[in-house]
Amino acid sequence: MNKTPTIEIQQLILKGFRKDYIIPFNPGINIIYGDHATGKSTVLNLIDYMLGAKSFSPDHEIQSSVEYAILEVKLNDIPYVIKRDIYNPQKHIEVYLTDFENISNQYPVHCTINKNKVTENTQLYSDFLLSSLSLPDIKVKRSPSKAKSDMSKLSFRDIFKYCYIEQDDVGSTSFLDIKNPPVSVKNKETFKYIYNLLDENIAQLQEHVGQHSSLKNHLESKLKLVSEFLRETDFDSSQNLNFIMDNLEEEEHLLKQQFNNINKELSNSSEQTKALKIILKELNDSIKNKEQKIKISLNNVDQYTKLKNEYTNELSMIKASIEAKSLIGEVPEKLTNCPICESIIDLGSINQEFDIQPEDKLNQELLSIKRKVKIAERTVIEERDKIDSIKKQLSDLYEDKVKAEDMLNEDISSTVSPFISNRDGILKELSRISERKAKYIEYLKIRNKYDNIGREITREQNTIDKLQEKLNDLISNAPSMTETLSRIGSLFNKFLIDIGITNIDTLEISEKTLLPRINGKDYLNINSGGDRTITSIGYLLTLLIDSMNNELNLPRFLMVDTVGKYLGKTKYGLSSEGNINKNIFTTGSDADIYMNIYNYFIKQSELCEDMGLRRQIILVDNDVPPNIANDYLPFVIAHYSRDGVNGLPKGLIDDI
Amino acid sequence: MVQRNYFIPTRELNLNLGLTLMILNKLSATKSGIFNLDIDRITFYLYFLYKPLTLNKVLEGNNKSKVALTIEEKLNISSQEQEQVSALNTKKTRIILSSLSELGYLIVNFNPKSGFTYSLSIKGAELVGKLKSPYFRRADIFITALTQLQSIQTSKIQKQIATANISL
Repeated sequence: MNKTPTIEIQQLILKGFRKDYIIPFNPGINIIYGDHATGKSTVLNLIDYMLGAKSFSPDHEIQSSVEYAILEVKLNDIPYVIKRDIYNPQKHIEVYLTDFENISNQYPVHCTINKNKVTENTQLYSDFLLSSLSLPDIKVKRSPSKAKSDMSKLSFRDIFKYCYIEQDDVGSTSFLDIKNPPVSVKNKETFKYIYNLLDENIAQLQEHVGQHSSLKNHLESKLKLVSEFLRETDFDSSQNLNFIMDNLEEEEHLLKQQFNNINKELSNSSEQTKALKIILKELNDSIKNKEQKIKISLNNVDQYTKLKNEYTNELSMIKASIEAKSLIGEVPEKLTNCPICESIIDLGSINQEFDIQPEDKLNQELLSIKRKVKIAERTVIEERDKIDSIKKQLSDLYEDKVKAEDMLNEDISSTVSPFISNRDGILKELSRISERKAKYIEYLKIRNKYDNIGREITREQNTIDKLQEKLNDLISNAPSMTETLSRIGSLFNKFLIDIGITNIDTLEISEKTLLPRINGKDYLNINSGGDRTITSIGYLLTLLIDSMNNELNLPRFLMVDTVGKYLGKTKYGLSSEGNINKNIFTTGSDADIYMNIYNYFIKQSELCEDMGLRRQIILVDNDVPPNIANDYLPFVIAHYSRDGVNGLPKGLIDDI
Repeated sequence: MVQRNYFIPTRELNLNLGLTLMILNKLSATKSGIFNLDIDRITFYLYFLYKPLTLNKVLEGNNKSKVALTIEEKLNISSQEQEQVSALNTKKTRIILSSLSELGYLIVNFNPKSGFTYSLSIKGAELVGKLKSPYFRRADIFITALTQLQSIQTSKIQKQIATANISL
């Protein structure tokens, strides 16, 4: 069985402030295309970052929308969830040994990309990835030509270079950083590692088998201890704990439904209470108004009664005046007989202080005042009638008020209070369930930790088995560099023919650069961007294809950013006859080659599937050949349009 | 506030002459026969006849028997008006006395101790007996009550009137 490691991205989740942005992936080919600046390359950058890249540069849209990222991935078919802060690369990376659905029941393993921060509880992320992919953890010579060269550890990132061609590297002279001599040297060592061509491989493999066996023994002792603890504490089994958790969640769900229903009913009931309160207020206002009217009428009764009495008194006075006038006689106009001073008092002085009314005038006043007495009396009676009438109305209003108050009290006590009491009950129950859930989650985490130790033992055993097999293979059948490079060269040539390039005179993989040398030209000396694009993509794809029949220390995983870079393709169609940017691969039109590259990816992926081999290829491009959009739509996992044409999402961040 | 009628019966001269004749008839001399009805006393006696509530307050203030008042006397508009000035306004009283004197109903007395005091002539006394209207009969009851104040000093009564009006 082919033991080449596999990486399969399941989904990339950007946990956002407003929403989560989720990109699901297929097991085979995945195509992301669309307008520039829509976040296509960001998806690949993020996957690279989640697999241990040193940094990630979030753009403005990401910064204003995303809190952190989660990658659900299968490494050698085992599910893992990786959680990483996208703003601080030095923060611990949390790795959950489970699928995304179950991370809340797991304690994460903490990893770091910084080897100085490795502790008993924090693993180097590269080591974790190498181990999870059952890749040998080895050191390589910094100067391979020297017998006593310093050694440096080969990291996952050294290997992953062969799985990801960034946008800037496609067709670039800096592909694989080959212009940087120390990196170039390490690349060669990495290439030998991938192909098990290192002299040190056997010794190191033997060492690693020993290391993994020790680790496995250590894990087995740990498992025994934890197992004893769980048995002595009569700890529930995972099955039982999951069963209890399921029941608690079901109970919680039902209670939340009840809680929502009560809130709805309470809201309806509140409407009724509100209506009753309005009625009560209206009644109180009416009562206040009527009471005020009574007050006014009572005041009128008082005033008109006083007036009537005044008039009654005046009637008596006028009658007395008439009598006195008839008996006393006329007062002279000039009074000379002052009893004190003998001075003369004239009529003018008298009139200042008194009225001397003729008798008929007094009789007229008498009649007038009698009428006024009657009017005042009638008014008093009317006002009293009015008071009686208002009092009757008030009596009805008082009764209505008592009824409304009773209804309101009844409404509150019989309708609202039970709701509140019921709701309080549910809240208490929900809180109790939440506490129990928290407790059982802790139990589950402990139980899962136990299960994880078991899985780690299995993983270690698998690693040991694979390493042992590799070791046996190496000992019995060590590949030679020449054979290997010749095989890769043949596969690369086949790639070129398949995509329509037939004018190749000589093709080899250079022993010096370990890169293709076409018609006598090393990769670095190829002047055409288009030719370099074809070569760089074809080279890495060739390695992936080679892993189908040979066991390589390279994950069967490839990400290519901008397949059509430097290719003179037309946008929609294959009519272009020109070879815009090529000078070696002169046969076939750019548009044909462009389409053939896509077809070749798809064909090789299907071949893998036929062989029962896992692989994943993620292609990002500004556009795709028309047959892809028409015939291979299921491979397209994202298609962005900056203007949102035809309802397409505007980009990775689609809500701003 | 309900507006009063323009015609004011208390300003009617003949009514005031009649009431003054009744005052002179019963209050010109004390029980011991001393004439002490001077112009000031006539002034506030006449005032009391129009203000029975004030009268009762003053009687009460001197521990004298009060008059049982009718509802019309207790509850009307003018009974609650404060007219302290008129209680001391002798100008009106002088006109009344001049009129009665001119008509021959009045006798003016003088002695050095009491000064000028007033009483009815025979003609006046005859006339008083003829004043029979209900108002005059009611006034007679008040004047009878006023006999209780004959021995009280004028200045004291004037102060009591001021106090009574304030508390009304």
